[in-house]
Amino acid sequence: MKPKPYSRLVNFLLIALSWWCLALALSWKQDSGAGEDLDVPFDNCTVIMAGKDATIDGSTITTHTADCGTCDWTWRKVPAADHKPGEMRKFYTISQTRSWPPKEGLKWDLIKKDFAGVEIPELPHTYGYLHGVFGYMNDQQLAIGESTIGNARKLNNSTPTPKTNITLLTLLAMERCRTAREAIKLMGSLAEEYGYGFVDGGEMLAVADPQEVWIFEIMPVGPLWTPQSGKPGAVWCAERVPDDRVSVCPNESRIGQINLAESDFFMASSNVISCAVENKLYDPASGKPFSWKHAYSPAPGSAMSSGGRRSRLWRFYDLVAPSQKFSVELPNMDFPFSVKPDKRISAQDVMAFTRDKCYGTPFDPVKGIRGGPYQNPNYYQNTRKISVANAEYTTITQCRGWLPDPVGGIVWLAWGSQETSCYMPFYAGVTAIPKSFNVGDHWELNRASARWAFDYTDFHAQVAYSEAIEDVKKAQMEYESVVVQKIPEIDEQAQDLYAKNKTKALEFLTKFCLDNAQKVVAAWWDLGDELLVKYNHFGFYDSEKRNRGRPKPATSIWQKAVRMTDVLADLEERK
Amino acid sequence: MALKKRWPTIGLLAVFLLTVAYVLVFSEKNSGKSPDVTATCEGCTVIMVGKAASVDGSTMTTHTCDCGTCDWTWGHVPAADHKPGEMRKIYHINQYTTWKEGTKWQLFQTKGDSGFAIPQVLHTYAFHHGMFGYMNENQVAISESTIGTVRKLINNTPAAKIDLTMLSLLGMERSRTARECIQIMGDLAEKYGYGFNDNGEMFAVSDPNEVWVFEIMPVGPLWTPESGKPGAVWCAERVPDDHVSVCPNESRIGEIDLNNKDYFAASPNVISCATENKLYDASSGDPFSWKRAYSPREGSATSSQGRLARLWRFYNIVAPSLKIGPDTPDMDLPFSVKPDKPLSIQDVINTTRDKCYGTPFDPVKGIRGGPYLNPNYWAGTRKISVANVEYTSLVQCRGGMPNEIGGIVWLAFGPQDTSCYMPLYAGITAMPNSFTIGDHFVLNRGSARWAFDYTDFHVQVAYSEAIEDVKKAQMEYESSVVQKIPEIDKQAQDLYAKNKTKAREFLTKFCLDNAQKVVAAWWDLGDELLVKYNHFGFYDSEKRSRGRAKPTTPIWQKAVRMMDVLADMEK
Repeated sequence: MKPKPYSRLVNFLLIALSWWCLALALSWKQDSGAGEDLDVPFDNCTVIMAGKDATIDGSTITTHTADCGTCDWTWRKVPAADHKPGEMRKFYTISQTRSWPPKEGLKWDLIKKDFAGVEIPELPHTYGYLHGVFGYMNDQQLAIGESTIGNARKLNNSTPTPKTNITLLTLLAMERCRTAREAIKLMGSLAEEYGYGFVDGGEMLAVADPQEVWIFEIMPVGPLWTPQSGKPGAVWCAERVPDDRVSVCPNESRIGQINLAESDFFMASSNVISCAVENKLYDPASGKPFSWKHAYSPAPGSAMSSGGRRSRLWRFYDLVAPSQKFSVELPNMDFPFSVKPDKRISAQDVMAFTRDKCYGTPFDPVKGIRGGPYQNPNYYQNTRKISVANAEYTTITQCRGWLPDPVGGIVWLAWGSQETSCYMPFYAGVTAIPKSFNVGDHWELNRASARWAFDYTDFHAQVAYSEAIEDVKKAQMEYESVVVQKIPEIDEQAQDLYAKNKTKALEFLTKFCLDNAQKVVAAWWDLGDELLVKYNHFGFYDSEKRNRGRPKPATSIWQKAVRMTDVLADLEERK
Repeated sequence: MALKKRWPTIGLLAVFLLTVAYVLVFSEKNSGKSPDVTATCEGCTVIMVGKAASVDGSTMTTHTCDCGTCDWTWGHVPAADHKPGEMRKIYHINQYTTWKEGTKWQLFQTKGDSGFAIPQVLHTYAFHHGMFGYMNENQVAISESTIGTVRKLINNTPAAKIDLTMLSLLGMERSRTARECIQIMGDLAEKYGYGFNDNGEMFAVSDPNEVWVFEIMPVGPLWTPESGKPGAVWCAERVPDDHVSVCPNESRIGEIDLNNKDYFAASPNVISCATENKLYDASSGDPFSWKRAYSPREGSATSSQGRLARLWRFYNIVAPSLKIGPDTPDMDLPFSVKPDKPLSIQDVINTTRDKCYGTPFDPVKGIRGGPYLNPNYWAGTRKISVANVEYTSLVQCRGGMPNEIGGIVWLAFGPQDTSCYMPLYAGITAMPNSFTIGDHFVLNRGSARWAFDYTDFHVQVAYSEAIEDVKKAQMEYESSVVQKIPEIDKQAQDLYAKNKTKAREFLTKFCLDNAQKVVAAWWDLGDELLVKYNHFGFYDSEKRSRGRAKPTTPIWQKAVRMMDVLADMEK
């Protein structure tokens, strides 16, 4: 090694300075933002909501990024059904996160082993709907998206006394309701009557129909509740997102002060304030107005103070309403309930939001050299992005009032990580979903499971991310953007058919959605193969020219970091 | 924030750090290439082990077939009898050309027909081939490394009829010993002219008793058969039995003593060709040195910043007691060395997997390997094991048993670190079908190579973790087979004594069954790695849980913070 051209003193200063500097950097305090008495989940689902006057086409929109990583991801279509008088609807204990080995069967069959001991009379008719981890869209265009928000710990009720859970509530709403308000009332009243909790705590649902989008939040009422007490077995509250506004729920309660007199914008259980008072979560004598989130699910802290763990609220508002210049330091609980977007948004805008990785923000996951030589955003997991690698799937529901319900409702579904996946439309009126959507789990590669096609491509994109993601984007143009463009044409054909023959219209929509899904899934298996060939051995192979290419040179910051780390290591050795 | 108060001090630090960094960035580089020599640092590595330098008395040579776009398919050519007067067609077979329409070995007979033929011999021996001939039924074995030649000797004209690949095939077909093979190849090259697709090349030629380095060059574009002069110049030197050597794309033969016939052989023009081409001046008083005349390569591992590291590295691995320094010019390193300890087959396998870890040329030094210490990001230095290898062959010749049983080609497809060596006895009568197909440009689940690439690709996502899973599989499917060889040898020898055909069938079945098992295991391993490292989730299929990654290395964390601080200051 060559002698270095600086003196021992300079060496010493340099070493001292660099260590001090590193110590400083390391000491950046990270504030999780969770109150001591609150379980705040930061790593779960994100719900984006848009009112009908906040979207370009007048649809209402909700999303659910099913962020888990070990959950059962399978989907089903539950058909509409007629029931005889005397038939009963059983309640089941359904855990959001439980999964079973495929050889034991499928979750939606196996949950029937967990009868909760309560049954209620069936209605003469239940609606057909699409469901994954939750119910998402029924044939009346009732739509739901979910986010776990946590609750003051003393309200947890993990006893088997409560007979409803959040999953069951969504399924019952799908079966029985035509509008968002109906669904909220039904879910609220069943939870109050039969108790809510056991496998769930504080939860949020976006509940939408073609006219309205509501945020529904629900909590258990503590382990001592009994049905015999005569008190409600749950406490809940709902606030409507104004039609010209958008909102987001990133695992944080979003409802603040409430005005139940304004019944077009607020609903709540009868105990909404009394439960807080009884549990010493709110003191009316304080003179402060009652705030739902401050009482039941307080989460102090901001995007900045949490080191980016709680950046989603700020990020979403900043994406949709940059003109309002929301600060990264603004405490999340001080953010408005909803915001008017600078421009009306489209379904495709929402797809892009669900893919957001916080690039270019202080929480950029590839900032500096975090992303390694190929700027992989999945290495650095200390900040929380809307799009994370542990998403089971993402749903975007669209309800469109100007169309008949089976044509108006669409669930856009993308398996796995959003940025490497592809949204596929499923109209509310489809009578079936692809078989490949019914099967598969995380622990066994299954080539008959749609999800694995997307994981296959996603995994292959991780090797040389910055290059491979461009190939994926091309495929998304071909298989996603094109279908988004095609929807008005499909709408029109379906509407024409519907006017003449409803069954034919449903068949048409089903065929369109299933054919498209099959095509996309096959394309993603192929894409995974192509990425393997192209980035094999970092060889940048070109299958048409039959040659081996060259990677783009590493970023200058990467090169710089490599050299600098070498210099530091040399210095340490000398020390 | 507290940081703001300290901006001036931090600024000062940044200036220092950046200055030091730039000094290093712009320090001189020495590629180690002499200006008028064609040479590549990116070609194949040949390791050679004499019979008294190996644990079991076998001779061993390797060929890491480093290319990245070549045809990797293998085949078995059966022995054949020929009638007097039959001709052997000579094909131009380019080492690198591939075709979309089929494999090289299907197509070269039409695409590479040179229209030229030479008299056939009455009997040709059976052999296994990949890009070259590797092992014939007489345990004559070959491994190759491109060494380059002085530019003026290149002969790409059609006057040169014989390419290197063809030469290895003819050697396989016609020879019973290493010496015979060298003489046959040398004679054919001299007579019919060597070059066209190839120039300076090296073969390790071995049999159960001897290992030779054979080097050959064309003699310039003006050569004609009518000149009466040899159409090639070549030289061969034997690796002493108790020595090992290596050829890393560099000529290895120095001064020669043709009187010492057990150690040297050469074409008659070996010195005159150099003199005529002004590559050697006898009046200089310097002794003639083959490599300095025909393929000089200045520089050392250090001066080339690791591009020429393999020679130093190999000697350092096998003979650490010699304390050879990485700044020793490669041309000054000895032709061969006595290893500190005799090498086993497993030692040679491990050496082909070498990534220069822990040396000044460590590919994961500092943060080069990223958060998961991937040795394939940093291609600035040259390791024995590189990602663009088609396959590695390790030929083992063993005396004291019938040739069909004594000879083994150990074959590993793709990068050695993630692959698995599979034995192919010299006496087997067929190749696994999956070895005979596939190319780089279409994923082919019927092709063995793709099973190993599938696993290799999946290892790249979280290298430092996934390589441990691969090592476990190598223990199960490679080490255990290495252990089993003596037992197979014995069974085959027992059979051979009674019925030679039965013995060959037995060996064929053993090798093909094993290959099939290994290839299937590597497809499964690829699947398992996908499941386990999916979304960096560290999934555990037995516990049905999602685990946690090991924390990243301190140096990685430090570097991330450092770059953040620097970026802030630059702002």
